[in-house]
Amino acid sequence: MDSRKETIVCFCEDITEDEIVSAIKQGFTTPVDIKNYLRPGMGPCQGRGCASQITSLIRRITGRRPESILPLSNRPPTVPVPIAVLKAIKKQEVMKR
Amino acid sequence: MKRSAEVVIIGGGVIGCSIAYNLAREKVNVVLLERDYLARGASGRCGAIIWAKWYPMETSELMARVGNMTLKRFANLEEELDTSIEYNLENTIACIKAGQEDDYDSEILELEKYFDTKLEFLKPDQIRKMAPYIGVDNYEPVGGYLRSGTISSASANPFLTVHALANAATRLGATIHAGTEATGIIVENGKVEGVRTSKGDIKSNIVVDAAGAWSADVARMAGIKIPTRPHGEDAVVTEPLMPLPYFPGIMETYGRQTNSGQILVGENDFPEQASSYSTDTTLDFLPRISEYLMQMFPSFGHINIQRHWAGTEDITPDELPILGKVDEVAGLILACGFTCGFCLSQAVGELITDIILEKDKNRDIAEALSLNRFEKKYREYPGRWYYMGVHKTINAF
Repeated sequence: MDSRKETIVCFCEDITEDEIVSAIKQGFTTPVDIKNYLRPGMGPCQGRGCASQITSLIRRITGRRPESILPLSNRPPTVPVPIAVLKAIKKQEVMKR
Repeated sequence: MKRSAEVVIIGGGVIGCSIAYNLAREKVNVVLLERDYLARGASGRCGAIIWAKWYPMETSELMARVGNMTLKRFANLEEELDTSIEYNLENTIACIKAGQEDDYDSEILELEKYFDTKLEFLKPDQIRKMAPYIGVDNYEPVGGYLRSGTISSASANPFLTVHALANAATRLGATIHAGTEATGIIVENGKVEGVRTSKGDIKSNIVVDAAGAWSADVARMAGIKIPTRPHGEDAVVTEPLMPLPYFPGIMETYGRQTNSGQILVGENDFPEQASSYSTDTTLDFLPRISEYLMQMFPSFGHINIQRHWAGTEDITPDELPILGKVDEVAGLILACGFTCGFCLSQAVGELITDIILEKDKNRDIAEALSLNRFEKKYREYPGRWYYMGVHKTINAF
């Protein structure tokens, strides 16, 4: 059996290398396109675990240079934060920091 | 790259792709131009809720027809396109806070009149029993309205929807150019003659402006001013949770539980802000939305917010879309000004196709929503006319 079928690239959203490779072959050739299509990078780790693997898969299949492949955009909060903690933030405190 | 087409659509969002698909189905030779990638703008950043929406104005009956059209088409879309768009029916309880009873009563009647939907009134005790996690005690609601298992409250995956429509359009002969920017519209003697793009000109006599937040810029390329402007909006998702049987709605927010279990919420009554194409998130949104989340789910304080993003859409003064032909430039078709564009997209694809093919069906809708409804002096965006007034309560679904 092809080991790629079972190699997990995105642990948060449970996405295998096989799925990502087939997405790239379908024409989703940037990390953003792949994120929109399969959701890697939208889980709790926000792409910390999978972004570099995805870039390297894109490089391997399309032959593009890694520095030409734009990374995923960063979205706040950088790490998951409980609702109650965010609610307690006062506007002035936000501005002070 | 194609050099000529019967119709060129500018904008590869859900509206543009829906129009491309509907035109291709009628065997029209159509080219769609998208500057970045499909669903880059509001389509890919929206809450993806498909609901019956009531507009309390003289257009309410017309908009209800548009609404019913879109609801029915969405319900059959997976079968029609033969692919999954993660279409789900939603179960929602709209919670009524003290003081909001009258607003709800009148709108519920209107909703039941215009849409094939039955809303069941629940007392606080019933809500407590059905969904103990809903913040009934937090703001002493007078009760809630249950809506479940009907196509007038549904959702879909916006990326899958856009790609499914684009793929179907391509299969039917449409050409989709992602990564191609429309840089100008060639107008001669008051007639559209073609579109200039970053990869050369395309000859065409009909151009559709479906550029979302950038719609006013595209219209300006043809020398037309339209009263839309870009407006940024934020939304958040929490970490994935077990499926909730009912989603609580409150007036201030819209939301749903996504397929992966995350709670997605955004704000309804957003303050008028400066025009902005920015998709950067705003700093004070997180504390505000957390406050609303705690009202809806008082016991969820420990749940993490995982992701906060923003999108940009184009708003019109009367919060209704602008559809159809423009008097000054023959061949320019507008399909813009959507604040609920994902939901209306399926009807818009059909309406614009009817307008382009000059079919009589739905001509009254096209006329009521045309640019002509604005007097000349309002062609510059004059500010919102109905702020905090129009879709006040119904968004709670």
